Amino acid sequence: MTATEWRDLGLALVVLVVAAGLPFFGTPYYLTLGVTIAMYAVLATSWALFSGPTHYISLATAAFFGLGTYVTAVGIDHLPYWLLLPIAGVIGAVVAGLVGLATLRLSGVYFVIFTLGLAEFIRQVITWAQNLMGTRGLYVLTDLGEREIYWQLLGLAALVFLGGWLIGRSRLGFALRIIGDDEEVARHSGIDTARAKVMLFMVPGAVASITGAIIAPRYVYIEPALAFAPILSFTVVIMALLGGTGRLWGPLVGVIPFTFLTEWVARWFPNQSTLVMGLAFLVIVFLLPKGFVGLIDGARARARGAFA
Amino acid sequence: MLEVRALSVAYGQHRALDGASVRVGRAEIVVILGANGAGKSSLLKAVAGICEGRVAGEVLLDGGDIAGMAPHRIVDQGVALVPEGRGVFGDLAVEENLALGAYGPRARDEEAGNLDRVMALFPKLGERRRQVVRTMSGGEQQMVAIGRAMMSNPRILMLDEPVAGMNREETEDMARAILDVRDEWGVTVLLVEHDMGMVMDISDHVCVLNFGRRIAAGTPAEVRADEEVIRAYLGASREAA
Repeated sequence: MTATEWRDLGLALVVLVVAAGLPFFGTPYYLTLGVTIAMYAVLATSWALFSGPTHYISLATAAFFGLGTYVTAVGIDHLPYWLLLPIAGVIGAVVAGLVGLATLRLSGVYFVIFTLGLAEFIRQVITWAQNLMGTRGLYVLTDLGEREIYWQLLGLAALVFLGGWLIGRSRLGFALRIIGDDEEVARHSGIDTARAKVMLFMVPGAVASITGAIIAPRYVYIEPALAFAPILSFTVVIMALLGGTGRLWGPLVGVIPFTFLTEWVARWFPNQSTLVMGLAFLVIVFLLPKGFVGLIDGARARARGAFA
Repeated sequence: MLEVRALSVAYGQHRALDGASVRVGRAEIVVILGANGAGKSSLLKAVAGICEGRVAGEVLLDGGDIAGMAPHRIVDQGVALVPEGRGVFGDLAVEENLALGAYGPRARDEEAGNLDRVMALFPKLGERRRQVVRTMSGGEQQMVAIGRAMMSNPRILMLDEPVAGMNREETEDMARAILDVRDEWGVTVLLVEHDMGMVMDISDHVCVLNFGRRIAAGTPAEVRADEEVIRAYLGASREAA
């Protein structure tokens, strides 16, 4: 590892430790915000691991997230909670693998439409199954509070960042950068592009599913409309693009301001929040086409130029 | 070594290649000659498994049919392609482009040795290992492209118009490098070109395509004397001259 990598690792550990202390020094309101930020940090960062280099925009986050919430909802009365998280991860990865095998050979736009439809399809299947059983939703009653959920999400975020860093250094990460640049050259350079894409698509699938499983106790009552809400998929994409997908930490710098913006809009424009958020998104895309990462990198380049 | 039998490629209603056959022997330089639109690039793409059109016919490599195989498997069989437009990654450094060439399992064991040989083939690349490729000249980018293909440890190197846009000096350098690939590495070269000047001097065999059909094949001298080639290909330039 280089000196810069050791420095980045040390910095990441300090941030993790400080963030882990939030339940001790923050108010319950800040803890609630912390859970939201940690949840979206996990979802947006894992989303960008796949969609960043490949430029395939996935709107399937809600599908995997919803599956995870249902793993907890169905399994909580039968299995230990800690076993449900890896089960959710495996189910998310397997579904992502199957979806990837079926769709990643398609060009980008068909992939976007398919992933959007996937969440709706799974939601309809679960609604139908619940109707057969005569229920509309499931209760998730546990002893887990905001604090425990927050720490779990923080731990998952640390794993996602570690995984992202390792993938970035691996042959798979290299292959995906090449695929995003020019898939045809990647193919005749000897890269099994379909396999590489499917393998990496399984990562956000598993992570979103585990996130759903962790969040389920917070919802207490799970129903398909809540678990598979398409707005989740769109929010993740917006946050990741606001931050920028060119770097591992990019989505995180989109998640934090966007969460505060959402809170501010909900407080001051409670009846027009969707309208104001839509306008905010248009302004963001117009002013920051490369996200905060582009802004920060541009400022760094200018600073280097000024001191050169 | 490589035998293309009755290969046809169609894009919708348009037949780009119509039952063309080519035979390439070990450590030979074989040139496919033809005007723009003659089907040359389609032939190379079909052999490499990346042709988007409908492909019919046989592509035999040492007797085994590789037609229809996934492109990465064809690379692993020892067939490398440098496409038209070079297929290099402009935002990556020279050494990253070369590392990409050694991605497949066939190339990994030989990576260090092949890198040394690529540097010996193109000493300029050794001096510019960390240079971002898009800042290099067209001729240098072609060296990177051929270097990347050679890093895959190929038995057959396929080049699509390797001297397009090059000046006379760069063209002569490239011709020497292609001869080295055959003589020093023992690699077979299948080359597509529409400019007869350079290729006639270095090729062992020439195959001429016209509107998707093979109209002649033989040694450079035989092809030069072929009446149909003169009519279809050289005739235009003679009349123009």
